[in-house]
Amino acid sequence: MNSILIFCLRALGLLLIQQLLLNHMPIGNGLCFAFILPLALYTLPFDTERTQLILCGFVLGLITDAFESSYGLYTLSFSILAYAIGLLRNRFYGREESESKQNGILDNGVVKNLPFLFTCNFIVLLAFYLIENFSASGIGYAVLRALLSSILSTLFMASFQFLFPSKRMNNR
Amino acid sequence: MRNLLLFLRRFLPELALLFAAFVSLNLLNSSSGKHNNALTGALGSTASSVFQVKSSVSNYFSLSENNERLQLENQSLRNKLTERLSMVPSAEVRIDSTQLLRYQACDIINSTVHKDNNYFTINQGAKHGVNPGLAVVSDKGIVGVVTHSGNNYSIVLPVLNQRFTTSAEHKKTGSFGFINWRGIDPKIVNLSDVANHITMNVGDTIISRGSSIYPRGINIGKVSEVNTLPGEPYLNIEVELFEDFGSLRHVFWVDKLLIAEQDSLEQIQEAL
Repeated sequence: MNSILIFCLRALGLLLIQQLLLNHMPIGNGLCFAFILPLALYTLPFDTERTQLILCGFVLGLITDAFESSYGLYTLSFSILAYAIGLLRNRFYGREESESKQNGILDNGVVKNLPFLFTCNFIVLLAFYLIENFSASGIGYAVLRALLSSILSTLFMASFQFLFPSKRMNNR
Repeated sequence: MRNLLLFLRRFLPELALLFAAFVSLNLLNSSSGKHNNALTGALGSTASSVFQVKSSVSNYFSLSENNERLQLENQSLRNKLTERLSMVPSAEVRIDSTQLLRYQACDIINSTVHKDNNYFTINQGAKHGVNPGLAVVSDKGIVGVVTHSGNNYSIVLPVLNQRFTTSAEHKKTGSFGFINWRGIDPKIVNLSDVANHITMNVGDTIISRGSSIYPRGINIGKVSEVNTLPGEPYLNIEVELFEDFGSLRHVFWVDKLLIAEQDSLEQIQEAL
């Protein structure tokens, strides 16, 4: 219950930052942008079940869609991301990290997180651009935008972790 | 039941993702014109492909029924055509009144093609109006003549019988001879009694000449070989039949409606 509440508060905070700040900073004439909303899902505890993860992604997507008036676009992207997190987290992190069940994924250190963050960001942004484009003709451009945006987003998330390190990370 | 629950539990994340995708696509479909168009197009083409396959499969199963329906339709059209042609003024279409015909569809239920004297059995007899002497034809050409008719079945003497003969005509020149089968190849018959001064080429069409049995102009086959024998006044002509008797199933028997009048006139002439 506690972790759900934290998730909601964190999601709300990230949503405000995304909406008020980052969405107004398009780079390369709208070619890419920094997308930090997925952080809300990355910070969920390791022992969150995959179905719960998908549910969290679904709700987060619905709320974002409500803000963006893009019903369905973020919902589907975040659901796919949540499914991907459930599959990838055990591949990227060893037994030591995953044994601390209450720890979030991002509590493992900034550098160690970079491959996971980049992969997940690329998946969610690729899904986002492909769904937004929704035609076979723009696949190449969508992949390029997803690649650039995921690099930018990963850098932003890493900076975010430097600026606001979690308490658990400090204790390690 | 337990297995079902285990299955659901195992694939719960995937089912949750499918549910999320379903809801999201529904939202996209209802909110965005572009997505609506693309989804409708994609689903429409997928559904069309599925319907196409379904249609092919169901068509296959209803082939026999469709065949029967088409055969009846053919029969009705042929009869209508005959009626219409008989009403057309003779200046436009030259119709011999003896060509007033009635076509009745029927099926071959037993047949042989590899004997020296083959016979067919059709599934209609006297109670359907079949009498000995009626012509039997198919869509491609002549088939034979009814020799015996029971109440429900009739025996047909086909072209592929050495006792069968009928007069035939070279379509280009109008010269005529007689068709008979020599019992070797079920695709080839001989055309005899055509004088050797007639120019006949391979590929020329041979049609029925018109007799008390066959109406005039029904296809028989095409010339496959023409030989001139030294000292013989007639050509030796081989004709390849249009009809493949080995796979023949659906035929028509033909009733010449004015044959009685023709017969009685010819008998008077013979009596004189």
